[in-house]
Amino acid sequence: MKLKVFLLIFLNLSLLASEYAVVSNITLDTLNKKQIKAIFLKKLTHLNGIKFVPVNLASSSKIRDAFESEVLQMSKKRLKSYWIKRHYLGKRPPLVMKSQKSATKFTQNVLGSLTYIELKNIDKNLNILYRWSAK
Amino acid sequence: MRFFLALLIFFSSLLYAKDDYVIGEGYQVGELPIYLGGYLSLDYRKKDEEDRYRFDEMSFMSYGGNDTISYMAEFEFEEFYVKTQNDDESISEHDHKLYLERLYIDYNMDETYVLRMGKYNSPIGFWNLMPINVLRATTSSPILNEIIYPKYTTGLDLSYTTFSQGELKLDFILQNNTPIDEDYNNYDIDKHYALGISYEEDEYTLKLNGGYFSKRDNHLEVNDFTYALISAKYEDEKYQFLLEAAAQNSKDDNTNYASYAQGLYRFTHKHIGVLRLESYKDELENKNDNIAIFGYTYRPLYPIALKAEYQQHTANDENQIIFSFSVLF
Repeated sequence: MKLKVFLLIFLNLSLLASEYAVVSNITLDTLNKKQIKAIFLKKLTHLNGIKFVPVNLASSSKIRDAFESEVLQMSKKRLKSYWIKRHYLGKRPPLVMKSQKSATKFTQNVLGSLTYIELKNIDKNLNILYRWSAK
Repeated sequence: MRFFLALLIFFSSLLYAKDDYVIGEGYQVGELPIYLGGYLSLDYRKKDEEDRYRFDEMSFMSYGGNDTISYMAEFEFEEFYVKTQNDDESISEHDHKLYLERLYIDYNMDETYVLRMGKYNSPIGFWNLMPINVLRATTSSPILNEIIYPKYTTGLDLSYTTFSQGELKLDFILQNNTPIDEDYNNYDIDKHYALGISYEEDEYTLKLNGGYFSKRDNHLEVNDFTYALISAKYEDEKYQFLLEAAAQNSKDDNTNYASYAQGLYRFTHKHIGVLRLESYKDELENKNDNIAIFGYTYRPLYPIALKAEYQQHTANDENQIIFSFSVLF
């Protein structure tokens, strides 16, 4: 009985979890989580001749919250201070798109661009570079 | 007059700024890849027998460019107004000269190499990369940042950066010419050859720097200096630990040593406490001191800082309290 209850709870929690992915119109098998973080912090700008164009969703986006927590592993406040310091060095934060739809469209059309969206919204023309799930 | 002219030019350009301005992130000029920003700093210092009020920094900067070529230009009024008071007298001083702090072009040669040409912050240690009050942990800077190496270089910087699990960066610094705006540097130099290597992975960064520089003043007996610096940093959401140690040697075998260890704790992102322990020995100036600095910073927003610090020195008459207000825009 206990096992059944446990399985039921586990199943429900699994259903509540959302799945996300970092996607791009390029194929890069070797891109790891640290490199994706470096791309969105604009520390890694090129690789194998490809220039990266990271695209963020709006700061109010829950998907962006999940991305910052999972991949960047930085709080919003710390990210804010990071980009303010970069302003002094003459560097700008990534582009921002208001919706998954616009971010996806941009990523399909601009070589080297990367964004993050819900797994269910992935277009067949985009390649998944990294995926994760979060509640 | 220059001050007001600079203000007029700067604020006129803001008329063309996009309307989604966020403080501390600069203004974009229309849809152009050109950004404007700046910062200012005011401070008050109390020593045993002296009070000082200072309008220290008022800076305007512009940067921008494309993927291949970008630029940075920064002009600053330094110590625009200083009033010093003691029991006997009160002195007011003004410096209305607009100094050129940074002026350079970056050329992204390929994936790994960037060539910088012009006047730039020497990429040495940690402190010298963020030398403005609003971005620093404390109003005061460590002595190390003043007496060991030239804070600014006018020439070339070739950097090589590669990234796998962490970021590895090499810097080759080269100056073999007269400086741009020699008044705005801690050393008036015409030669600076240096090498830097840094590795950053997760919360840890380690840096090594070493170099040679030559002062321009031919009346001095000692003009040639070598230096070495080791720096380490740990930083996470709550804590930051910095450790830097350096030595400078001159041709006549005078040696300067300077080091500091600093711990920073964020009670919240608005309330930050700092403790820094410094030690230095300057044989050329025949000075040495050990300093304990207790600091507190309140940031209502990150680009606005209200700071207080108390410095306890072993050297006589140097204990002091400093308050400051600074903004980055």
